[in-house]
Amino acid sequence: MIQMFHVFKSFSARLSALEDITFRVEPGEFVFLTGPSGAGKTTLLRLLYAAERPDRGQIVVNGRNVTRLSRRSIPTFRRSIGIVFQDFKLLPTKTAFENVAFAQRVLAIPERLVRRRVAQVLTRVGLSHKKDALPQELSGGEQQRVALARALVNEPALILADEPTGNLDDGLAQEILALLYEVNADGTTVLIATHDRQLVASTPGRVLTLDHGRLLSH
Amino acid sequence: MYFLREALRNFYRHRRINLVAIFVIATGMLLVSGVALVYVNFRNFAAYWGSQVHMVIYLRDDITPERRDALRLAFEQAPEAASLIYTSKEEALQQLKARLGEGATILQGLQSNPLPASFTITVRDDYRKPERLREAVERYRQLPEIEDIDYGERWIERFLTLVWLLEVGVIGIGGIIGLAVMFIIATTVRLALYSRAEEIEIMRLVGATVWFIKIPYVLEGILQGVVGSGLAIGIAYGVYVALMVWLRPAGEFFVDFSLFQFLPPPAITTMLLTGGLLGAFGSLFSLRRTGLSS
Repeated sequence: MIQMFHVFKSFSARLSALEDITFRVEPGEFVFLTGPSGAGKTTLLRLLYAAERPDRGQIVVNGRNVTRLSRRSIPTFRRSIGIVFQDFKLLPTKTAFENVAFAQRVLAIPERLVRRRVAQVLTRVGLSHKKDALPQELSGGEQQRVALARALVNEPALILADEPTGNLDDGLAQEILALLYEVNADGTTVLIATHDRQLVASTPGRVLTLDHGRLLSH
Repeated sequence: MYFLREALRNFYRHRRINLVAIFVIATGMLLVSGVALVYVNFRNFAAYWGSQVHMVIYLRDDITPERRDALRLAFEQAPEAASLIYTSKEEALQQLKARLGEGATILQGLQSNPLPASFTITVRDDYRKPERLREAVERYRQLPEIEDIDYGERWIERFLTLVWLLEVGVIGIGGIIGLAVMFIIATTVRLALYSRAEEIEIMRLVGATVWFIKIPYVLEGILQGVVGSGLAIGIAYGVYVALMVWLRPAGEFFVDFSLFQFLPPPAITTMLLTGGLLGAFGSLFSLRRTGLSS
């Protein structure tokens, strides 16, 4: 599902974000990407969803060579993966329903199918009763569940989550993790970047550790 | 439908800045409307005045009475003739003496009457255009009995030159204002884009193409342009009606008010479409400048 071969990325001559990263994630795996703040976790994830390009190396995600993607192909590529962010990244002027539906509308899916699918996925994350709420009317945990619903609505083969529990308390963090586990049980590959060692320790899953841009173990 | 709904929603959500843009666009388009209105009405008057000159056909002195009568019949039946007056040499001299008044004494030394007989044709409405007059005149000049024809050609030519200058002025001013309107829309859209930069970034992360993001903004720009133009036309019409109401009672005796005209439907449609197009281009220009390019 994910393959990185000798990937290097730096943002200046002196500062190297990632050095010689090589690893694989098989389809259906549940993987934590851990490390302290500044280790390069977010940069690695951004490389995976083509928000950055590596200076060297190859990246293959879901059978596509991300390093060779043209700008025009990036939107199509991103529709095949689900991304969850620490700050939720919900569209502030759209309701929970509209936020999730947006991910389907970019695919030009007929409206009646959009309504059905969005309702299903909101039910799955336990927020069907809040479908008409705006993000500011939702709690942090609820917002993250909406973000997760948006990531899931197109049934992607891969979910990338960048500190999905970073802004949540322990209880809510466990809820989100439980949902991600459920999704993984259905066959979706899940890669979670997190600096929360407690979360990693309390949850089964393979662990990749980054420190100062280098992968310590895999 | 999604794009239109999004555009309308965004238009309402950012209504303050959109209203400002619409009023500024309306001001610019009002200038264009004003210039266009002056141009349209000037053309009407130019055509009317240009055709008020009667066609005076001067006859040679050696014309026979039979040929004169034949010409009278021919002129009466000519398609451009509404009416015909014949002025003999003697009548012409009498008219000149009357016009000169006390100065008519200078004519006392004349050995013979130098003034020619003439036919004065009053031109029909649909022939009151300089081009048609010219065509008729060229036809008559071919006749051997004709000495000369006077239809005030220099006056008409000057009017046509003035109309041409006005056309160039309208296009020039219209072009400059059009560019200004486009930049106003571009600036408004760019301001909106800066405040929505994060939103756009989220849409890109979810997999929206650049055009999926752009189209609602372009539609918003079109809406600004069309509404602004519509407002300008509405204001121009109000001012036009008010002017007519105000001027007519005083001016009816001197001027034919039926010649006044508001912008014709094709001109209104063109202005609305132009406003929309300027809006579209303004948005596209702005979207490029903020880095949202394909």
